[in-house]
Amino acid sequence: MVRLALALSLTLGAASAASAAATGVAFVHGTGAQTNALADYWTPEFVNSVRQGLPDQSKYVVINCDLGQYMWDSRAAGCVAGQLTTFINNAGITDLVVITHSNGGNVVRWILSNPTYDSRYPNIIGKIRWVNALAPSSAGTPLADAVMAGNVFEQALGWLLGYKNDAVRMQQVSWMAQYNQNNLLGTAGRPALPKGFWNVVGTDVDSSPFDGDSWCGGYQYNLGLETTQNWLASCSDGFLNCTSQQAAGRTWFRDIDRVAGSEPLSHNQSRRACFGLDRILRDDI
Amino acid sequence: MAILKSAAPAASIALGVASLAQAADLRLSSPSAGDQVPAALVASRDAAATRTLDRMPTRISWALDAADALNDRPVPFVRESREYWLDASEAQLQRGVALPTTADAALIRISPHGNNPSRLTVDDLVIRNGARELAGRAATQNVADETSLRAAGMDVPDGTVIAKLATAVGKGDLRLVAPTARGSYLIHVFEPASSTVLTLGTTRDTILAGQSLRISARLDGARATSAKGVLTAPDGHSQPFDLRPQADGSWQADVVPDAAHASGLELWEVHTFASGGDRSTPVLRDAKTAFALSRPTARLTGDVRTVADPARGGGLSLDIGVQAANGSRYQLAGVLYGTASDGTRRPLAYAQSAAWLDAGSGRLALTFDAASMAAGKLAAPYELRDLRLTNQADMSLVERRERAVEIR
Repeated sequence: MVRLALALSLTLGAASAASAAATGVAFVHGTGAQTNALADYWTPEFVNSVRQGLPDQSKYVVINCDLGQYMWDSRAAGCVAGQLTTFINNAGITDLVVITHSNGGNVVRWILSNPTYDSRYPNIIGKIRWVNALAPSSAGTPLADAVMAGNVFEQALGWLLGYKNDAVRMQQVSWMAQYNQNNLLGTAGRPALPKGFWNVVGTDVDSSPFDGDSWCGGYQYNLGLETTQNWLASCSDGFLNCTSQQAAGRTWFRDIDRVAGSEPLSHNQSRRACFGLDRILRDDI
Repeated sequence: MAILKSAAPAASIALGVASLAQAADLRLSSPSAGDQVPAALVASRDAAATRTLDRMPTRISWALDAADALNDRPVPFVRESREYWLDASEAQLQRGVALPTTADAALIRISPHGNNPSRLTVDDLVIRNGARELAGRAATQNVADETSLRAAGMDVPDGTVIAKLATAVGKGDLRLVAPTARGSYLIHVFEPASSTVLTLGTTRDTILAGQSLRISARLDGARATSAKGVLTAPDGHSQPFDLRPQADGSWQADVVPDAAHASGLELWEVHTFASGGDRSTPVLRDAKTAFALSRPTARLTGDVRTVADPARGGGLSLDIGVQAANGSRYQLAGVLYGTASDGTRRPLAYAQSAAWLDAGSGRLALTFDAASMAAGKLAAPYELRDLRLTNQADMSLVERRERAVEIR
């Protein structure tokens, strides 16, 4: 496949990508609170490989925010906007490629969809060339529903389960459907996003301990996939149906069409240097 | 296959107030049946929510692809369920909990309640189907504990175990027995191979405080004998309701959520619990969906002033009247359609603007810049569709118009 970058034309003083002198890349993690996402979420192997595609390899940022909150929360989108703004200003970024994984795609899509919500958003949007959304949970996951649905029983009966992960609550299928219709752009039937949102889709999982491919990214992450896949469609990465990963923006590629050996990327492998994914992302910058 | 990865549709961002030119006065079209229109305004009770809002007016627009097929109104989600949940005490588990199943190889999740520190493993379980009794390992083909489930992205509560039943167990009125159970547990039964499906939907996915929500449910693959439900608000408030059987076999309820529990972006949930089947093959199914409830803190007055002349290839600004019950930052968004050479209306551009409005009458400008309008190669007459007014204090949708105004 061949992809071409078209010139970006922006008003309000934003430079065009075609003449950009300062290209940067930002990594936005998925659900959970991170204080060292480089080590704990992405791994240095992955980030260091991808940033080799930059003209100046120092112009990258690994976001560390609390994406266990709702996407619009100041600790989620607000924190991401703050760290992106600091990066853009300090590094003089005029052309930004954002790489998201999983729920990180929803948080960035919130920023792209609600540019008037926060005065920092327009400048960020103006600098973004495009978003490479690795396995984005754009339409949620049935696994979130399975976890959350029991709470109504405990709630009604006065039990105190204390389930407080708002990001999981938000990624229930019915919740994301409502947000996609009302608060987010880029899904079918809704206006397009102001910048490209390009999906990398994981289609299957190798979870056998006898298949060496299962071990890329950490075999322990794949142990439960055989069970969780029962909630998912035949095309999934073990956490998200392909339909969710493809629900917003446009599909850049499906794993088996592009990565080395036509291997599938499980949900955990799509944030690791598995099967040449890092090199594909590097070449995209 | 080559994929052209375009950088972006051009976006035009404006901060502050743009200069205005020629003007014409118009009125919003009459609301259609699917529109969300406040009948009366209610001031927000949460004044603190506005204190941190941006005061800088912001406008942005970008071109849309004329070939895009856009919905003029939200399409509510429809849920299909092959699962149910129940609570079980230690006495029930020691005796045996009835788990009706309609297909082989059901998955059974067992989670201790939040105040129960005990754990059950597959070796603590027995499955009975009539006179047959199988010990845990023989009764299951796959078991996952909390550690492996969480690593796979399923954020289950502490102590959770999920077992997939062996096909040898069969289906029907199964019994789950745990002689060593201590405390109470949540039991979740999921039958991915079942053809017995509960469908749940609502007629809209956003309503205003005081409005009624129509809820419809249908059990396919078995005869439903009862259907009940509960609304849950973001603050935890629960509101039970009953569904009425309809002539077509579906079940329906009209419920007015208690507006005292209204909030912004956090959603309400509709939970429905259906039972049916017969004595030999009982059926249980639960389903849920979500909706938003907004306080009508503002509304569109109907006044629209167009500025500039699109026929001359310039941008178009629509200065739209807003009446607010309390001061806040309000947001307008809408899709401008133009007319193609074949006479059809096609999407041309999207615009969003936000500014602080004090209580009373004010105006917000929705501006479609010249570049966005020129990109689509569409001509007058133009039409503003999917017009939405949002209170950014809680991002609640306070008014939505499917067809807002035609500009000739």
